[in-house]
Amino acid sequence: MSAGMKAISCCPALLARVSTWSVLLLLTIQEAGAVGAIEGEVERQPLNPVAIVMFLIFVAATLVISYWASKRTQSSKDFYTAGGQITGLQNGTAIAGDFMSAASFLGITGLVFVGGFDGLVLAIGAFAAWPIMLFLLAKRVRNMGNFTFADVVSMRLERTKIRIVAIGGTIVVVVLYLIAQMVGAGKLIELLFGLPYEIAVVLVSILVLAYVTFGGMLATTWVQIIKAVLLMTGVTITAFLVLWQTGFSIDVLLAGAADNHPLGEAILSPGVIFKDPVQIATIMVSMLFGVLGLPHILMRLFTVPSMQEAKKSAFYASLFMGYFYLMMIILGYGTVMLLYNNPEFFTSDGKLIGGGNMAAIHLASAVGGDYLMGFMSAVTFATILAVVAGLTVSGAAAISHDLYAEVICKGKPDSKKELMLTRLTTIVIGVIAVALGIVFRDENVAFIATMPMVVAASVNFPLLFLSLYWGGLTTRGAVIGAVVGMVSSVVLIVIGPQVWVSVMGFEQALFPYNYPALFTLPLALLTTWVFSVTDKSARATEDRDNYNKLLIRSEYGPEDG
Amino acid sequence: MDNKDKIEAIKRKTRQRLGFTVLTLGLYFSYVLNYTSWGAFLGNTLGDSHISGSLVMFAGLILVFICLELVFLQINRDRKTK
Repeated sequence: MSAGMKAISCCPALLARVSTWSVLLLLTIQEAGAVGAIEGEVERQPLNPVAIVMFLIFVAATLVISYWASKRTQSSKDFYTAGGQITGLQNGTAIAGDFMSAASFLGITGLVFVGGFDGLVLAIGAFAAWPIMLFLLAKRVRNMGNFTFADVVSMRLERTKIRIVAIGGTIVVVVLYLIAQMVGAGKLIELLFGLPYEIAVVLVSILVLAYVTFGGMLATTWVQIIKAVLLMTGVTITAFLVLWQTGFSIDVLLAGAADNHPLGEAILSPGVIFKDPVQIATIMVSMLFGVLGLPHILMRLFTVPSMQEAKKSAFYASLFMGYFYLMMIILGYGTVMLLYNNPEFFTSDGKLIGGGNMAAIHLASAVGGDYLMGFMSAVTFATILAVVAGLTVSGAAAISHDLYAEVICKGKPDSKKELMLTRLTTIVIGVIAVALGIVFRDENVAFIATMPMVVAASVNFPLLFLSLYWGGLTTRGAVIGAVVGMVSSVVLIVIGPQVWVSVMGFEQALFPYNYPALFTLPLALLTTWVFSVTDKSARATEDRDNYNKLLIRSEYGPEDG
Repeated sequence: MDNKDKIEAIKRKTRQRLGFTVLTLGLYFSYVLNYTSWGAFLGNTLGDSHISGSLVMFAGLILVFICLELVFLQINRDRKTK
């Protein structure tokens, strides 16, 4: 019996683990949250010299870019939005880079390795947000805002109150994301490069601070673009080499996978990991609407010079992501076909070396040797840097622009002070990220990675959508709806399986689903509607009157509006 | 174009935006069929191959979404040209 077969010879045991893996890996698709991809399965690997050399080349190139970008980052606008001079193609590539993360790459292939088709639900969830982004949000958000999504929602509503709510939504998402990222980064780097956890966390933070503090959004965008191109190149090469072995036949690939997996042809259809349609719906709602409410993604719409370029950004992003996720079929089933019967990738007790999330890296090794494996490991590390950089810019903008410039200074800040505060905030966020990364090292952070998507779907998305598309929205309705969305998200996650059972140790969860946005999003929308239509205040009249004027601006641009 | 005309044009565009969105959401959530008895046919394979209906649906949805985006962009480009 091969090592691989030995590993899964006991199917009930495998499937029992699968459900746990799936919950953790689900977190990973959150286009950055590598935490889920590596949690609980980390085994420190030997130092990988090829990966380290390739990574050092990447770091050197990105530091040169940061130096170049620092010369062009002279104002807050430069810092937050790269001066609005990124083209649609460049921005689309950067957005795709945000989504083609280590988590997507490792998480989806890992899930397909374990459970076949069910692993792909994560890909469709993240991908489908992009057509909606193009149809509903890209143009209007670009035309209504300056730097952040809070700019958009505060246009027609009472600015201080709604900004504070929007800042709350942004900070919660960014900080929780950052914790998940840093814990994920530490463990992933430990796993891929053999570096100690603390060193990995500090290294990530130092590099990100170098990019963001000096180069702002311009450097962050170029780091993301380079990484996206490298990752797509690596994925393409790996997929090509996998198909080479099957005579470029998808059917041979799937047949080989079904032959090698203990569950046989069951992995070609749904039902191995997920069986409950409501569970699938909860995941799909959280994924899609969560993506549409992520502040660091929305912020990218302001980095382009025009609404046309904003629309192009969304289109190019989905084009690249579509390609990437289609490649995941080949890579995912490639891991099943090529790894299960190869003892080289299993420990003596039959476990995949490094855990299920190393499947993609092992696949690179199986088809391309040490060089391809080193390349993919280096790109994975680069991915983490790029995503943390984007989060840091978004967090810094929430504090220095939304809070300081717009709330405290009432929209009239001293621009030099604002830029200085932005850089200071960036450094503080970097230090906090290291501290939280180390504090949460041994914690079960699964729920921390879930929360940002659910909060983004239940707080940020309803705020943004209703402010752009519903003339009846009032400040009172928006504020109460956002608070209800936030509280219900947190409560349902706490009484759900990830916290109630996994963290607090109770036998059974009070709420059965990990991703409650299927319930919290409609609740937030309903609450907002009820408290808006019943709002008879003078402010409510002003909020409603603002709608038509801003509607013109949202479609025709600031010049006409 | 005065503001009244602009508002009318925006209302038409809004209906178009919402139409594309509803279509996309409908297709997206049809993926849940894979996990219901109504979608059992998706478990069948294409002919003698190992390619299941579910896999075709996954790849097909990605391609259809990209096509929808292209149509949306094209419609808006045509309208702008006119």
